[in-house]
Amino acid sequence: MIARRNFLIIASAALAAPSGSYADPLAPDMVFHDPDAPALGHPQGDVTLVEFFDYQCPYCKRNHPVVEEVMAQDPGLRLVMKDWPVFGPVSRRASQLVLGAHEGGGYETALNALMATQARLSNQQVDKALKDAGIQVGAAERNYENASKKIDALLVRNDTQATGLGFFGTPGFVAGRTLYPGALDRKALMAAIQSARSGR
Amino acid sequence: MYLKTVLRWISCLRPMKHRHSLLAILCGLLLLAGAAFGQESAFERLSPKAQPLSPEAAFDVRTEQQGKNLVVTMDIEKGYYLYSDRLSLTSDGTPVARLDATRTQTKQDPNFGQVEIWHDHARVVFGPVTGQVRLVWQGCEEAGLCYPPQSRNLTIDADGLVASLAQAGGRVWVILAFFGFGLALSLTPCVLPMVPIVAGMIGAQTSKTSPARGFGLAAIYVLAMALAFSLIGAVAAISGANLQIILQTPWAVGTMVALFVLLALSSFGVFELSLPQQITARIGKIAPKPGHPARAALLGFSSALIIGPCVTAPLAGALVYIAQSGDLVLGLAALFALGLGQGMPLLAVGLFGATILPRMGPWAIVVNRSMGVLFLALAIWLCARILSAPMILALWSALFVGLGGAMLGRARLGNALGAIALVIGCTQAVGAALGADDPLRPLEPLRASRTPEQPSHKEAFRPVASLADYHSALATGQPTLLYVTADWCTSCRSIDRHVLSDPLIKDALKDWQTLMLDVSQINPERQTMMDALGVVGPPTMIFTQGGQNERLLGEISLRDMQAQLKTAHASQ
Repeated sequence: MIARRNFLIIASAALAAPSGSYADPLAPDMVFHDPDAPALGHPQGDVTLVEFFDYQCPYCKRNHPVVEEVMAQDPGLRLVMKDWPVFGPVSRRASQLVLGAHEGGGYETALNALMATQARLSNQQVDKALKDAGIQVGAAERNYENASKKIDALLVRNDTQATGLGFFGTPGFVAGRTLYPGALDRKALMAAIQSARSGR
Repeated sequence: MYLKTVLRWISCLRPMKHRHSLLAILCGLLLLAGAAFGQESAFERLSPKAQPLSPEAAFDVRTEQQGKNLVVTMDIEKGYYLYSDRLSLTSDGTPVARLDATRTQTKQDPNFGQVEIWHDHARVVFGPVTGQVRLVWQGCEEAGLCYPPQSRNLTIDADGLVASLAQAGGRVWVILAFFGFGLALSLTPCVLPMVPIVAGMIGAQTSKTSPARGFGLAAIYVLAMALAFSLIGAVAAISGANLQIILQTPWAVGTMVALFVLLALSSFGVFELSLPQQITARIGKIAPKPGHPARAALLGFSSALIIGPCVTAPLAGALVYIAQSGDLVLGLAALFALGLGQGMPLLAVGLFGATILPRMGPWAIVVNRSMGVLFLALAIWLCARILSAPMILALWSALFVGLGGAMLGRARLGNALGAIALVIGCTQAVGAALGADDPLRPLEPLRASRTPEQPSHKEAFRPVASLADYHSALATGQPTLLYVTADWCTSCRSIDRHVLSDPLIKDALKDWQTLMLDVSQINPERQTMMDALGVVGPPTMIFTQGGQNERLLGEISLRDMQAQLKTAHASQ
């Protein structure tokens, strides 16, 4: 009974899904080149690394300096950080604020500011970390509200992709056609990129 | 998987259906073909060995309802952990309190501060709560992966028998089950005293009674009894008052005693022979003539008081259900069915009693008089709830001496029986004078004073003074048995004699601290304790061990007690 009701809800949601380019979020093009997902590194890089992450996930944060370093040393790398807030409302709001900051051009600063925080976050700690990095929280909030439809749809899509691809949790990396669950050290990350580059 | 495939097919098909219908069909076919070959995605996963476990495999979360609490047991794979602060149980979005939890480990991480986590195994008790709840947990793999919150929706049944029966098979099933329970209980000491009442009602008729009429009278009696039984129970449950308080007040017992004495006198023919016409007529109205349907109804209604104080598991279950759920209709119906079940053997007495018992000649008078004696015996039995034990022995003495005196000089059999009754009566009198408290062992004080025996079970049970006293006893961690008992509780006497004095039981209880809550006299302190412990009445035994408790209710048999102590021992 419940299963059928869920099916109907899911089915109707699928039927009502926006048409056009967002048709299949699991298509490789949507995973690597979602038009609404901000990208870092070389915009036209020859290889794209995708990371599903959460601002409160300890392994994502511990792993982030490695990701930044690899990106800095690889001019051909394009990086797409996909917000997958799994640690509750604070994480969700943090993602919304950073994507809001992106609308105003402060994406990388905001992202790195929150990735550098320690452990669990409260809303206040999120605001303080952003403010300390020079982000105007009020402006980011307004930007998010103005673009909330687009941003929230992106978050839903990220979630659909992460679960649809079969990731059990954060972090999860995609390079080429291969899925890498869990944190990756420098060597493993470079190997994954190398493997994607060689067309596997 | 099939659902996912279908959805993807739909989402693939729909946007293109106008412009590229051929492409859409191709797309659908491709997807179906993909599904057929088990290709879920354009991406490939690492080998399962290099993969973290699925959250279901990493965290084996089991739940068990204990009363109104939910016990959550989590077995955590090696290399994985659960966050203590991300385990929650909510009811309508409101968090449910944690009553107990396995101690957490502090995960100190120089980069991420400290979090409280569980490795390996954890057990958390939430409660109290009923209805729909949502359990949420979240954890990580040590090697570097954090799972999204996992959740499960659960229904915590309203505590107890009725709710679980209703859940299993609906209301009709509850009523049928309670009727069955009643049947099973109908031959316990709680119900047996009603057999002579019904027999007397049928047998004491002067005119000829057909089996049909006997059955009819018994049916009226049983219906009235079941009705009163359910009404008393419902009132008790709704008002939150204890059933014992209602049934053990001196005026309630006094009314019953007076009624039985009136019936006895009526059986002795007092109203027909020796009293002036006016008084006879008046009392005759109060105590309807034998065989009258009104008398059957009146007797049945008041007999409910006899079975009322016998606490049994179904009775307690129904009372708790009414009090907790407020579902009066089902609670009442369950109690009514229980009463009917308990009354079933009485219908047999009505049906066959009418044919077996003589109605004419001197034997009819003998039967009638015997019923009178039985009514008096019942009156004394009821008095035991409010009078001291030696007083009861004195009353028994009076009854037997009177009976003996009346029988002497009436044929040989009468002489013999009369002499026996006289001896019993005198023994009871001696017992009363010695201050004995058990009519079946009137001379116990003589023996006890000569040979100081090993302490009886009653001395081994320490009376608890208050709830705080009980809790501090539990805090010692020693296995604890709390026995709720009362002087007027007939089932308790049977437990004392046949269960607690058994050497095997005594031995099994050696390592237990045994406590007693005597509710013979109810005071606010004891009432508070009973409410707090959810005890409907005596006899109730609460076995507490290792933070878990189990209870036995009602006529506890030697086998029940052995089984209980055996399982308790096994879990130790």
